[in-house]
Amino acid sequence: MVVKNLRKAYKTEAGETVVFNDFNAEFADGKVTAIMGGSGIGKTTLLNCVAKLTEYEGEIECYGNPAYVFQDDRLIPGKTVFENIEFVLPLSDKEEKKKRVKNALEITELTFEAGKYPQELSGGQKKRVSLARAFASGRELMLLDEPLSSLDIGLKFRIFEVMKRLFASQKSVLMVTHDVDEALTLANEIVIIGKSGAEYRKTISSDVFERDIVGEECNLIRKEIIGYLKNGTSD
Amino acid sequence: MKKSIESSVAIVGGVAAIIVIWCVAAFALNDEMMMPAPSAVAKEFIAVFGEKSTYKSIIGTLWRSTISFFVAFAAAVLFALAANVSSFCEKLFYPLVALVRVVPAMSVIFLCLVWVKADNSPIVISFIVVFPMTYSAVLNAMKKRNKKVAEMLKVYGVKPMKVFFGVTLPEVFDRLFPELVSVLAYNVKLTVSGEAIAYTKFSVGREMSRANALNDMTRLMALTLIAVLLSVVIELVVRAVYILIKRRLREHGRKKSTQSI
Repeated sequence: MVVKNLRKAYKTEAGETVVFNDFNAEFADGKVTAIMGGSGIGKTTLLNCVAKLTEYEGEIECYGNPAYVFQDDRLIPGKTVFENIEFVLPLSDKEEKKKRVKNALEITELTFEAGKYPQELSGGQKKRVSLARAFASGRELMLLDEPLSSLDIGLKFRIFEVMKRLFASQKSVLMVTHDVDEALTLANEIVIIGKSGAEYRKTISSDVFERDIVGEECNLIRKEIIGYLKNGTSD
Repeated sequence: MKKSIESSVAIVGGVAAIIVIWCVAAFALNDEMMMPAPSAVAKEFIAVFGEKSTYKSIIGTLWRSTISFFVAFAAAVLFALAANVSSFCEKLFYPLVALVRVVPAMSVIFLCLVWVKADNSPIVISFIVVFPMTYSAVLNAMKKRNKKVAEMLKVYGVKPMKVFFGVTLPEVFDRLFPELVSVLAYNVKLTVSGEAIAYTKFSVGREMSRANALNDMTRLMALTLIAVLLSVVIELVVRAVYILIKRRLREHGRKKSTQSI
């Protein structure tokens, strides 16, 4: 995915707040990329631009329309888990639809929750429904905006396993996070963005399923990232 | 369970308190023309139900009330849809809706008596009063709908008609329902007032007007009780039907989803 000369500004009472001015970046296809950066740098705005939820100037080249896992779950209250996923699928073939939903529910371990309504689900289950929905949509690019920020650490690590399985069959993933461990657990590449583009980029060579996030490689990257976020340099 | 018992006891206590105050007032005044005793009203209430014409009057009132409510509701939905889509339309409708809202109900009743036939005036009166209330309720419900879910559906490219029937309509109706039921019950009151003044044939209002002309306070109060019961019964029945339909739909969705797996 290529972002060229992106300019995004919001009109406020005080005038114009510029989020990006001539922002340029490239994100590798077929990889899980974790996007990090300071608060208010525009991580969510970048995803919203990619998903065409907000107007912008410049160019964003990516494979069709992406699937989006928002920070909040955005489930439809009057529909069951199954219906919530089925509703967004554009397929006319009912059997194919069922198959897709069933597969997504299996991967996210929600098969037994298919008939439940959102208000009957726990926070972690709601998260998994919104992941299953994005997965079932079959889009080549999946965007995730701090999807696990509201969950406790134990639950996060359980959902990480689900996400790894989902990402393994997904072409490209762009995931905004402020949690270094989340990025180290799930991503192939970590990118720290600034106002004008990618300022720091690190590829993690180990496979996500075999990765030791307290191992040598991850510890080194963690140190670098924390240093960069703290001082603006990886030295 | 404890809470529901508590609230039932409170309601029964409230009703008992009203009856006690009524008994004390009737005893103190000791004048049936001023304040008939509850026992006399109860007797008259049973007697009124023994008359064939009472049923005709109740059906007539119910018919007019239902017609005016549904016409007002349909118009309110159309206007609210237009106002929701275009802020120009919202501003255009604002003076009309504001005007109708501030005009006293009695002025509307008297004007309608001049403009419309006596048989139809209760319908028009109810429509004029109920329409702005329903319009505001529908428009508010539309404006308060979950924009975040709408945004999510936009990302997944769900067609607008599918979104409207599958998400927007059920959500708006859920939010609207409590207000609609109150308006429906209020509308019965309004229809009866219109009927009483217009002296509409086959109506509870006309029966009340007649009892008033004959200074028959006991009958007037018995008829008032009928009007109150009509409002309460309508509200309870509509609420019960709504809950039943919702429960059925939920169970159907649950069953269908579980079977699909």
